[in-house]
Amino acid sequence: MSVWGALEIAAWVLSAGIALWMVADLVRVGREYDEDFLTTAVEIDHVPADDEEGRVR
Amino acid sequence: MQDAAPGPARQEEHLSLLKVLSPVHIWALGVGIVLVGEFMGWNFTVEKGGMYGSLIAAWVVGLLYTSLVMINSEITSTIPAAGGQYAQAKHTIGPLMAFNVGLYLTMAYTMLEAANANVLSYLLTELSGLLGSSEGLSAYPFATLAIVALAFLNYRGVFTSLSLNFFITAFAFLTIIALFVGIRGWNPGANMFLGGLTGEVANGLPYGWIGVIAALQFGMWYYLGIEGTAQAAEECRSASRSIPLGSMAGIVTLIIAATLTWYVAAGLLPWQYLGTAITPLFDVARVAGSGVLVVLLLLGTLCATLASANGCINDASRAWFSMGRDRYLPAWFGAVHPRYRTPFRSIVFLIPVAIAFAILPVLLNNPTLLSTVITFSILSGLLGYSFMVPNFFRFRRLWPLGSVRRGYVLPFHPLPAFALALLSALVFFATFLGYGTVLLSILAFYFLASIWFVVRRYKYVKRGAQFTAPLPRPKGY
Repeated sequence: MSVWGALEIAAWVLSAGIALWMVADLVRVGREYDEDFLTTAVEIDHVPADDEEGRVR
Repeated sequence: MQDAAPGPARQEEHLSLLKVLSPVHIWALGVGIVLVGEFMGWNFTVEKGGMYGSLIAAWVVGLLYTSLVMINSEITSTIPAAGGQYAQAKHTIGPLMAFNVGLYLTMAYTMLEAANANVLSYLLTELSGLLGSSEGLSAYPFATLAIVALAFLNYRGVFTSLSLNFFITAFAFLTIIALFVGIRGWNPGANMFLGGLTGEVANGLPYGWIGVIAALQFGMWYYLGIEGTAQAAEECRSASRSIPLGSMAGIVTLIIAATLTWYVAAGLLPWQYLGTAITPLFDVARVAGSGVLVVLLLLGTLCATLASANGCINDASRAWFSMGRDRYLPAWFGAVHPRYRTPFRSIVFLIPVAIAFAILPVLLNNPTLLSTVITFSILSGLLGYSFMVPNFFRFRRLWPLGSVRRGYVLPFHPLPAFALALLSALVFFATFLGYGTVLLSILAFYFLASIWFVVRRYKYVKRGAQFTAPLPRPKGY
């Protein structure tokens, strides 16, 4: 097998490994945490500090 | 480099995206998405309008994007929410426009990411040829690896992924400067034969002013994606400072890069070749005859492509996530990772979509499909820009100057908004000239998606929670 052929296989293996890790972590988080907790993220939870001192424009 | 993740959140706390970004990251996000357009794509303006047509397109479309960035900076510094223009539309107009804008953003960035992965695999294939490989390198594994690896970085944290973007974007920009220095661009008579610039009138405007208008569509390559800085607003330590500063620095960088790119390419390549070249800046380096420049520009092109794909993953996932959070899409997509504080499900969901669009043109052996994917991305962006004009007028009417704290105030209002509307209409016309059927197909797609939203999805939208920004009651309500 040529170097380039080996690189292609390495790219496939690496892609599959990374994808599997992400899917496994995604499933694990879904099992460990309550769905309401994960999907009720606060959008804007504070006014940035410089705004508090900033001018009203 | 490590994200400032405080570790797993306890279940009694409220999750939020991690606020760790600074103006440097915003610059890296905006310029990173766009800069690949300087390395390839912009030169189709030359084919449409000639050398001067290309320069006019670069500056006229630059004005469009400058207006856009200024408008964006005022609203985003006041409504610092993930989703950017989607969140703006949600606050100013209403759910149907917000849904459309969110969809434009997701499609624009996902398609662009797919095109980047496709180009990256093409570059690697070319590189293997230059290194002496006789067998054709397959494009699939490297396009897939690029998308999956960058998605992994984004999954693990926004700070690391955008810090990486800063370094590779800065490097890519410096290679353009190096090219200018390498050919001694300040002394045009020395190394540049100026075949594209002088000699014949036909070099400048071969198709007259209609050619200039036709060039405007591809002029968007110089800047397409800089508006994506708004997507990161919710993750900034101080959005009111970071968004205007990072975005303005970004558009200045891009105008300089666009002008330099045009200048060095126009000075060394004949316009007939330049108009159809795949990697024009790399070709300039080869014509310049310097081995160092060739290597630098090859690396610069690779870095710019990676930075663009990385930024696109960041922006597409934020737009998709924010629609899920407001129930415009299934709530499942609106989840935040309890440890990494990223929109992890949206990131993972968009991976197969991007891979499909990246490898379909290769799989079907249909290169024109790639240009259709890119046109879909450009037109989705353009539709979003057009909607920003009524958004901004309504924003100023609902919250006039003096009623809320703004990190940045748009000067000369309403001139920039009018400029954005006029120039967007011109680019739409230019697109219609070249891609009329694609334009109509895309409009039909979004129209059908809107019907789906109104009939099947609107009932799930959290209608009582549309105004999420800490703003006073709008004027007149």
